[in-house]
Amino acid sequence: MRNTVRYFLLLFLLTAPGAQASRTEFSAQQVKSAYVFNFIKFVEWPAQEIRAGGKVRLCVIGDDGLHASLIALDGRKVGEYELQVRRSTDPVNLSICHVLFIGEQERRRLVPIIKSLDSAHVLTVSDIPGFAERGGGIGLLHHDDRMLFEVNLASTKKAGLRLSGQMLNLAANIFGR
Amino acid sequence: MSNKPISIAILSSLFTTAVWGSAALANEEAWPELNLGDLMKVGVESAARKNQSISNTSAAVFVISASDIKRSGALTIPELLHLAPGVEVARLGNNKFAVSIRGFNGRMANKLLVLVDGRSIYSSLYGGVIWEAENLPLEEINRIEVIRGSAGQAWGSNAVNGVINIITKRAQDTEGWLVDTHGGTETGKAGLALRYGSKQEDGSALRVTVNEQRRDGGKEAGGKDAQDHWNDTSLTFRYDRPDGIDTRWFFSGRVFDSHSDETWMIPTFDPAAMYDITQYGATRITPFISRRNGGDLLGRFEQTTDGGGEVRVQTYFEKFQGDVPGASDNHTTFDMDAQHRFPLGETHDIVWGGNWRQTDHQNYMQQGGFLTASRTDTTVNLTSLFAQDELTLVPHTFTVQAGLRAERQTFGGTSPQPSVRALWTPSEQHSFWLSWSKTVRSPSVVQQTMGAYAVAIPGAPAVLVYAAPPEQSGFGNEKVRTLELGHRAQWTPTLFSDLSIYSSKYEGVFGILSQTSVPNTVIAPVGGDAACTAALINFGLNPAAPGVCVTHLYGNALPVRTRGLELSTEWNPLTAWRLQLNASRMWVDAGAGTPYDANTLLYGSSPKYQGSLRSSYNLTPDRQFDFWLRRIGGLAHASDYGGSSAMTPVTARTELDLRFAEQVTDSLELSLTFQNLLSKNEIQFHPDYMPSLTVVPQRTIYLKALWHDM
Repeated sequence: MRNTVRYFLLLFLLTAPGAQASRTEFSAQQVKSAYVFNFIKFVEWPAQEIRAGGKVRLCVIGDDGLHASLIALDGRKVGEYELQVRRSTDPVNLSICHVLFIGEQERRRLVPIIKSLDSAHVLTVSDIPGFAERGGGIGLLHHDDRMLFEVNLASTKKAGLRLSGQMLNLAANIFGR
Repeated sequence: MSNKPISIAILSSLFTTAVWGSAALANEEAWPELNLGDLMKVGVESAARKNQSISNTSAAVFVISASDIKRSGALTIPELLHLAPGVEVARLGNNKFAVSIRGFNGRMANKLLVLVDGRSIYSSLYGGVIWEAENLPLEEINRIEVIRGSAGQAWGSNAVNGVINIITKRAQDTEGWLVDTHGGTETGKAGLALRYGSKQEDGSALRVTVNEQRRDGGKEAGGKDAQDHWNDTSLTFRYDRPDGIDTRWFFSGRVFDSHSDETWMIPTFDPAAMYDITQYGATRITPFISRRNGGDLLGRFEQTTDGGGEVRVQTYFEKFQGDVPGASDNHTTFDMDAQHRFPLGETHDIVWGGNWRQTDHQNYMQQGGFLTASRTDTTVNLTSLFAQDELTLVPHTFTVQAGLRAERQTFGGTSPQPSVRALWTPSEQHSFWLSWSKTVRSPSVVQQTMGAYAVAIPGAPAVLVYAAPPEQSGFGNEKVRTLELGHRAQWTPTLFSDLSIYSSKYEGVFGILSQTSVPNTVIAPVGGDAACTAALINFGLNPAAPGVCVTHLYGNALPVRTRGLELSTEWNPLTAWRLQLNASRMWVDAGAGTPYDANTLLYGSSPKYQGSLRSSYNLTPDRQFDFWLRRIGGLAHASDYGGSSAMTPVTARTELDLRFAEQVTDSLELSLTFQNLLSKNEIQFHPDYMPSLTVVPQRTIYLKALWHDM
């Protein structure tokens, strides 16, 4: 038994300090940014809201880290749109966003925010647990060591958005079908 | 999960320069090329998210995630709880545990509330958790929230020193087949959990799990086989059903059957040798099987309302049956809980609600032997109403919260449980919180109504100790007032710390009413006291024989003060390497001005310090190595019961667990776990509450296979 302990300790010491970070792991921030960016490609807003080649206003509230990540993508082309990244702390004006990411810091105000948007043409995205079930648009969820997404089709329909079937096929869960 | 090679090369170059809170995307050109399919496969560090969610809480909270649970190698819930700082976990053998927070640990630690999906598993009969009956398959658990400190305002009575919330996975997240099986030595002897989950088109999902666990007995302190086996079988289900845009239903239930063997040392008297003290002692009951079975059913409805509020209504029914010598636990519980949360204006967040619970205990006492009770059937009713307001003074920076719960319990009467909390978040990296709260612990049925004849005190003349049912001396609620202060910091992108400091003042902690208060303690010659006479007759002794009979009265005897601090830190030196260091220190001052100190606190003994270092390392994407070292201080511990091991001190111990896991294929993971590797056969805790034998936990080695068809 002692030898087994030694063996493992040795193994641990040998492998730990010089080991390569061989596993491709990303911070949640990076994966969230990539998801938000990608969702835009699969969503169609009503024609009167954004014309082809128009600007998609992306707002981030309650997650400064994510906002900082996404601001780097301001002005980029995403699908047929041009991305415009805004940080909004004013709940009254949230309906001017086309995509709204709601971060952990807004956990308490989550439901009031969703409700205040009513049928405004806003795609809501959040990594707050239970987001899609509670009436949000797209919820990001941790599953083991991966991040997946789920969709509440009833809320995206209410917002007048069309989500591509390709995206829905990849969703871990679809509510409100 | 092995990652597909797609885009990995691009991704690696992308993320090597990740910077906290700034433009992390070094190579913006390649960034948008990632598609959704790739994103779903990449590994994500979830630690930061976990810490972020607790940083906005004005209480000492620690979250044990599903990944922590898996990598800990623990096979039971009590062992898992050691992952959280400040949680005291001791094994009284292979099937008995003592779990508490911030002191008063014992087999029936009565100042800690434990809930599974909102269903209380705190026994109103014994006061505490019967861990032998809690056999939730660990793969079902989504997370465990450990809240330290007085939390009666939010959770109700008995959340004196903390709350443990065990939250199961949604049925949507457990689709397909899963087989979780292990085999090995001691507590890891054999286990098999089989789960199937299915999802429907409408977003609803159902899963069913059968679970069978077998654990071998340990060794008595003397080296003899203790025969404290523990086998259990359970069937659990969970059904989640979304309804419309923002309404959801959730139903869950289980049936279980648990057998745990115990050996008790029952105090006896030999009437023929009344004056020969060597004849007094204990009778060994070897071994009996304590069988517990029952079931429960829970339903919950949740809806968001148009005003931006949320309504939650939950109800559960539970039936439980269990036996130990002289007493049984036959009860049914019915519970209803409702709460409503809504915003008021821009700055107020209001939560209010109520709870009603009725527990019928039938025939829990068999009169005679060494036990006595003032009644044998009882109904415990609990009714409470609560409200709280969280006021945002400066958005994202400063909030204060005030709340009150009024609760009425059959034995404890009506008691207000207020709390005031403040949270200051000067920056995204730092948060500070302060709280003051008051919580009560209601007497348990046993504590209120049961008396006992204890072992004779060695010496002549013979002494019979009789403890009267506390109900007779007007035992009521224990009260605690707690002041806490906390600080959390994300020092660097990879270093997080969480510190809390507390001071708690307890009033009327259950204990022997002081010897100096003569009116409460009757010392009379045998035969001179009615209760004593009855006791002697009960034992078949001659009540007219000379001797001394001491009648102890129990009640709200002790003022106790505890102070302490808890630190938990997390550091990710490499993306593949995570280190967690936890430490806690506690000072107990019990009964200043009374002859009692921490040693004589009934049902309570806790280490002064604890420390734990955990390393989770991914050697390769498919190979994990986990290392968990714990140091736990000794106990100033007096066993409630006599017997050979009563005087053996419980010394400080070091524990080491190792786990090595390999993802053999996408769906199969094999792991080898060593638990308690440094064990020198130390006693971790002396029997209390029930007069079982002192059992020494052994090393456990087991091999586990986890297979799922996803």
